[in-house]
Amino acid sequence: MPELSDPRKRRRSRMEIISFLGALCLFLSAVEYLIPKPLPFFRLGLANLPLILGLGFLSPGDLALVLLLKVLGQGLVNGTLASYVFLFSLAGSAASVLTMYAVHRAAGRHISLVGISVTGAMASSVVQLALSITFVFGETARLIAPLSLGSGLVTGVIIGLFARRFEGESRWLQVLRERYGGLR
Amino acid sequence: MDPMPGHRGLRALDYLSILLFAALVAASVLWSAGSRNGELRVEIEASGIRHVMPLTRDDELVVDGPVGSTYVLVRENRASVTDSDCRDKICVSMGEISRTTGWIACLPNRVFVRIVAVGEEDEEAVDAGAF
Repeated sequence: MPELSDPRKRRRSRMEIISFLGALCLFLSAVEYLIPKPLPFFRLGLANLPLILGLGFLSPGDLALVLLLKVLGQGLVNGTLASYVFLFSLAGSAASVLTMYAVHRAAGRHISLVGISVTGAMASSVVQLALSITFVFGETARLIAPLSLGSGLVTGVIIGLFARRFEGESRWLQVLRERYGGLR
Repeated sequence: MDPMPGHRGLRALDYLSILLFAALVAASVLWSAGSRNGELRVEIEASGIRHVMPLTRDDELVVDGPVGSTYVLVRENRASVTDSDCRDKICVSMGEISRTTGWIACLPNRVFVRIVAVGEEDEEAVDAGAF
């Protein structure tokens, strides 16, 4: 992949990749919106896929930008942008990405995308549960904990398995990584 | 560029993270378990106010929240949310509860319904029958 010498063109190409990943989050949020939710708090987490895949090549700043686009996109699709649920989503997603990034950096080759996805789901579930106890339902929200955490574990494993498979076989992702790598 | 590690099989830390999360789920099950003896009542929390209704008496309660009203029905020792002004109606589709482990939540309207045993409920709760 040829490297761009003009910094402005490099920056524009980088922004194109970030925008593309953000749009992918928006699209996956719309797909997830079509899936019925059997429980409050339940979310498959499809929109996290671009973030999980981006851990392997995006800089921390660019990852944060994709995170912001993902949260805003989810808020728009779900109609929760002006409600407290949006803050839950923002806090959960931020905790998830921070944890996944830290684990990815610290554990390196000793962990796959499955473990990374599970730790991210765990961080998101715990933060959202803590927020619901503190600000919404009080101590009674402890009743929600088993189902909320349990569904987080299951969806974390499913998304992780899918991400690992996709990451290993997608030529599209390989091209994106090389293109982004040539811009740094 | 090398792909991210571990796309062929699960690694040791994958199992560890799954086990850690599973332990957290198990701990939350113990944490959520309350008293299961004594007379059962329905506790409805909405807009910071707790309402209490006997599970043995058929009754209905309408509570208000940020998005409108939520209708709680107690009938034949079971409690359910029959309607709510929220969009997804997940609280309605959660069905009936009759045991102390049961709960129904309407996140958009901030309504939480659960079954409590006498002695487990909050002393400051409002008796819904008083209204």
